[in-house]
Amino acid sequence: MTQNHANFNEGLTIAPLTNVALCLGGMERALHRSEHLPGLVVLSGPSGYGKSTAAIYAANKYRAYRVEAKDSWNRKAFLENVLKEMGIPPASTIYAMLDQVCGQLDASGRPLIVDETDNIVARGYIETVRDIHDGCRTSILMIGEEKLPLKLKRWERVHGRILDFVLAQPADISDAQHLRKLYCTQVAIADDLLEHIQRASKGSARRICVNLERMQEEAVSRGMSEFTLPDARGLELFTGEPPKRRD
Amino acid sequence: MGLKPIDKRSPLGTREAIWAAIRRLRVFTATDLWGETNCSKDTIREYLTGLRAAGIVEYYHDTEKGATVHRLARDGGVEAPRVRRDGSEVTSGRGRENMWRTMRVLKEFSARDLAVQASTDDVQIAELEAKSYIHYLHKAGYLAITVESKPGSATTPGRVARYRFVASRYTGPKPPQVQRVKQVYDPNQRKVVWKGGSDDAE
Repeated sequence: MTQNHANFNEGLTIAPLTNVALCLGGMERALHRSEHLPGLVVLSGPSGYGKSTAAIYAANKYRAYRVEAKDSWNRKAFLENVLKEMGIPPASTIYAMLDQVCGQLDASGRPLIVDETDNIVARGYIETVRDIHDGCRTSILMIGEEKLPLKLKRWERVHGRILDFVLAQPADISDAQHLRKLYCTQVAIADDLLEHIQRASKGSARRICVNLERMQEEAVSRGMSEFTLPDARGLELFTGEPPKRRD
Repeated sequence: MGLKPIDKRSPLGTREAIWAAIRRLRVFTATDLWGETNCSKDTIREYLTGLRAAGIVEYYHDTEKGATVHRLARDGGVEAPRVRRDGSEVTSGRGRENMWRTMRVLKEFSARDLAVQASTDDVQIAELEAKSYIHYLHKAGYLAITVESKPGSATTPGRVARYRFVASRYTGPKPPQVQRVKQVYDPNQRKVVWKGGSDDAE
């Protein structure tokens, strides 16, 4: 059985996880593209596959500006929020705000990540994202649900600027093994239990993490250094969404 | 030449103010910057030295009176470049910045979650570091506890604490700072948001 008892942060990151690597790959292709290529990248997939979490690594590595489009936003609210992310007081008109956004993206060379892009498409201002793209040499990652690529087809001028479509994948056993390395530094979680956790977590890397932490806690409190499927009998696994609360 | 703690400096007395003036003027002398900000000449000279070494600002020409005129060579945007005197980049705040960015995405997390998810190949965050930052952000009201930590016993399993980011408390992109005097300063709002008291166990 493979187990890593060393301190978890010795060069270990989430980068090898399938979706993190896919997302980072898309972002890097856009950042290093040649002059004549467009710089929009789409990351799509069913909810629960951890698209937003997968984009964290790329966001931190390239210090991306990141916004999560709310259902109620319009074009102005979107631009204001991008500017808030940049720490820039927004100008009073839409076109002046667009200039501010493009100016900062160009100067800083940092990419933009737009999460919940479906809300922008539904509200009909996705062309604003294209405006930003056309106004500077930046890379923009748009994250959305499974049908986002299909929805974007209707917006020809946006669709034509998409460099890459990245499809999020369910967390598989190799993802679970990597997460075990990252999370289980006190207790050896056995392969049979890991497989069970991976299945119960329904493709979500986040749920695998929560379950690994629970199993480790349980083992520690029982004074065990190794934890197997039979040991975990009767313990409940987390299979649903984390508690959603609104502030 | 010790700098005052950030909360004791006026907004015009910071490197951010010098940088804003540089971007406004584009071509300038150290005296120009002194006139535009409340920074001491030493502070301005030191920052200019770093910016020049980093190639962000460059020598332009001398005035008849012998003063050096600089110009902005590489504008990186609104964020003031963090450089040492030799021009190298200061990356010490990157861990906090990553954590601040990451907790808003995760929404609900443990200390280990935060450390694991916020680390990259060049910015490694230890779990203890995440724990300490979480401790102060919770004190300052940015985080709420969703699951209380509980030490394990022979009969019941222990639990790690989990936290939730309070979305309405998001003040801006700059990570709140834990100052040496055990208080939390929010650079977005430019104010101290929490002062340590006797209840602070850490």
